[in-house]
Amino acid sequence: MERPRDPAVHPLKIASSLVSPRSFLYSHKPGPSQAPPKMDKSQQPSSFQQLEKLGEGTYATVFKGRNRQTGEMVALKEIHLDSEEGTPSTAIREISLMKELKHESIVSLYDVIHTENKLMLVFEFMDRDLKRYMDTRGDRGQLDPATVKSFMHQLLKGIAFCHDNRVLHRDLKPQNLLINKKGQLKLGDFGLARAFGIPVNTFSNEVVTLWYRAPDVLLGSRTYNTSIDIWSAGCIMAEMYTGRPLFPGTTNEDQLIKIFRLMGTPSERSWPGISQLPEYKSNFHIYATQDLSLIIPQIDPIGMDLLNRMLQLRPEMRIGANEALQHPWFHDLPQIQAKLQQQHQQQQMAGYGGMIPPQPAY
Amino acid sequence: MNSLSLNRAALDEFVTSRVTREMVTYLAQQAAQVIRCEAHVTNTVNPHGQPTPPSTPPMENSDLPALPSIEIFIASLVTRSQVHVSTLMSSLVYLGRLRSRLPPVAKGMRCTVHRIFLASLILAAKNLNDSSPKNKHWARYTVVKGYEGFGFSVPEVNLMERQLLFLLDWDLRITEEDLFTYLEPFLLPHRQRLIAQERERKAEEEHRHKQQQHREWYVRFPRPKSGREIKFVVHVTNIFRRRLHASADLLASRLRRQKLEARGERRDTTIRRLPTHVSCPTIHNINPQSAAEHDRYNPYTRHSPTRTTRSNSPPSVRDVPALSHAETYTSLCSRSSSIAPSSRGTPASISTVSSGPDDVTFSDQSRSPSSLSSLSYSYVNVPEKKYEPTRQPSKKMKIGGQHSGFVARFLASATGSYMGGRRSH
Repeated sequence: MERPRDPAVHPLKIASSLVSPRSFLYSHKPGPSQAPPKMDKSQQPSSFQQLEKLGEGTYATVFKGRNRQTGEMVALKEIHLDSEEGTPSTAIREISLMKELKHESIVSLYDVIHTENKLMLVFEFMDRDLKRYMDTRGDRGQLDPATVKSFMHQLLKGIAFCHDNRVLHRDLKPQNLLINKKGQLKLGDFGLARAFGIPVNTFSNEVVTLWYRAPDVLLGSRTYNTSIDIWSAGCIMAEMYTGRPLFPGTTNEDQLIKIFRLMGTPSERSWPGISQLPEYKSNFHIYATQDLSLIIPQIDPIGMDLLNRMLQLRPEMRIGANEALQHPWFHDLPQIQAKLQQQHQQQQMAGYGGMIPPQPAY
Repeated sequence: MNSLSLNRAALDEFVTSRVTREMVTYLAQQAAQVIRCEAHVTNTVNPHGQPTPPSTPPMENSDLPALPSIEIFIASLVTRSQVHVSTLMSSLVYLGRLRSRLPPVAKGMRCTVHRIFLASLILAAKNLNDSSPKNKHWARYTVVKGYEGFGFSVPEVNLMERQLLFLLDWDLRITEEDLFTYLEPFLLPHRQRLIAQERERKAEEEHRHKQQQHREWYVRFPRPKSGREIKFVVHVTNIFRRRLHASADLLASRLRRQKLEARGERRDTTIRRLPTHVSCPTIHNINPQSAAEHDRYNPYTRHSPTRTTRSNSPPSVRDVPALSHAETYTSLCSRSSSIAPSSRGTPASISTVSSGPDDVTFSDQSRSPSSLSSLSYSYVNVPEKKYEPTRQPSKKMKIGGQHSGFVARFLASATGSYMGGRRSH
């Protein structure tokens, strides 16, 4: 599935203008023949023209940028380095993971520029995030069923690629899914992502934005796995149909209640082992399972089946990403994509696109 | 068990063990092998005109504070940071990766190895754990008792981290295969124990099976000839059981119980073997899965029930606790200053050190990584001792008076500029 590398894209190398390998960590045998390593121009911060700010997060600011050499648009994620912390672990993981995850449904990391007080990540440019896309393109935030299906397929492809490469994203939400003008959806912001599958990891349960957090994580599980990303994907699918978050909780407890109210309160019978989870309470209010199609009337029965398989309370019961991609709901995808392509061309003719200010969250 | 699942089981056991002296020694060796340290290499200004590091002005050699050996440095770091075995030992992956990436001509300065190790440990901690110490904490952990003036400042720690990221090209992924490769010396004893355990289990099962067969045959025929006949006879026994006398009935019921027991064991041998007076149905109440689960999370308690109920069998390999008990980091700390002049830690010096009769006594042979026991453990006198269930790691430790080898050479050659000598904080 790996996309052949674009020759225009520079291999990931770190600008060593300040961090010279010839510095004090080790040094080469002294000799006059040692010329300074040739710097590729693209690795210098100055080789990117910094344009407008696209967004600001807690630990990074994203700017639009232009590669001075190629004219190509990029997104520059600037991470301020705290002198007490050193290089943030989020950045360390995001870079080391994204370097390997080359896939059409995952935002490409082109370059990393590491200086004493800032770290700059150069990403492929995307027009906007899914949240903004829904707000501007959808009807009161609702997307048409064809777009939902196309986006869900791309989302699941990206997730499947991560999981196949033993990476958990752990922060899937509309703000972290990026859309470009070609109608492509890509996974972005791997700041919370982690490698899994080796017994030397320790995990926190403070992962995933509350509204998209799986019930096992809400119940305090630290042994969660790939299924937490699937739960998030289910929440996103429902949100694309309705334009509103499926479980907009305010606190951990409120989030659980909102989930149980719709999906039914789980018990030791429906979910063996649940009572062993740290945040489990025996006095959870008992709710019966509701019919999701009452909340999401836009969804067709086959899509409903897939959604139900993704939103299983019990993590072991949730469908896997690869299995989800084989779901009958995607059988008519080629026709749907052809239709979307047509629409897209019409919109291009009408001069649509580019009118909406982009705001991707890398 | 195939080799993969065996390795996995060994790894699972290893990561729950505690930091031992062998681990620290091995880390020190591996770190020292990453790069050659040269005394004369001094602080330089790089081609871009920036002095490196910015915070440390050049010093006279005589002003240099004493440099702790890499082993003492690691032992002290381990104690102060309370780092977990899995994080600590994963740094081996980065040390190995760096070694393979550095040109063979690369040379370090006086404390380069210390820096490389610290940076590897920091990156392992940041990559593997969702919460890890900040660099300012790591800087504090670099203070070594008995080495006043030694330690790294926060800017220095930040710089070494950045440099290692550069040298590794941000390639920080650690695969299962990496762990198998780099932790092999420590996985080997775990694997051996697991194999022995498995072998013993099978042998015991066979033994029981034979005993049972023997008893059955003793009832009907004096001489068994083949497996086919055995089945037939058991069948006959069942058919005619009702017609037997009361005494024969008793015998048959005992047989039945034995069969059930045997079956229970076959399903999962980690299940506690019940004394014969316990009635059969209890066996079925034990869920093999939960027993296995229990094993997974309590790898060091798993064999105690077996031991209590099998007093007839001799102490076996499986009764020996894993590597973990050998020595804890707490004890490492208290001794770190006293081990300073010893000559451990480098392959070059090891061969010259003979194992004295009164060296360190703390480990069973079965617990120490075997490839090491022949090499670096020459200073460890491993006595042939019988297993004692409640034995604590011995506190006896005497160090021979050898001042030669790595540490001494390292110190003697440390005439270059000393980067890590002073803490700015």
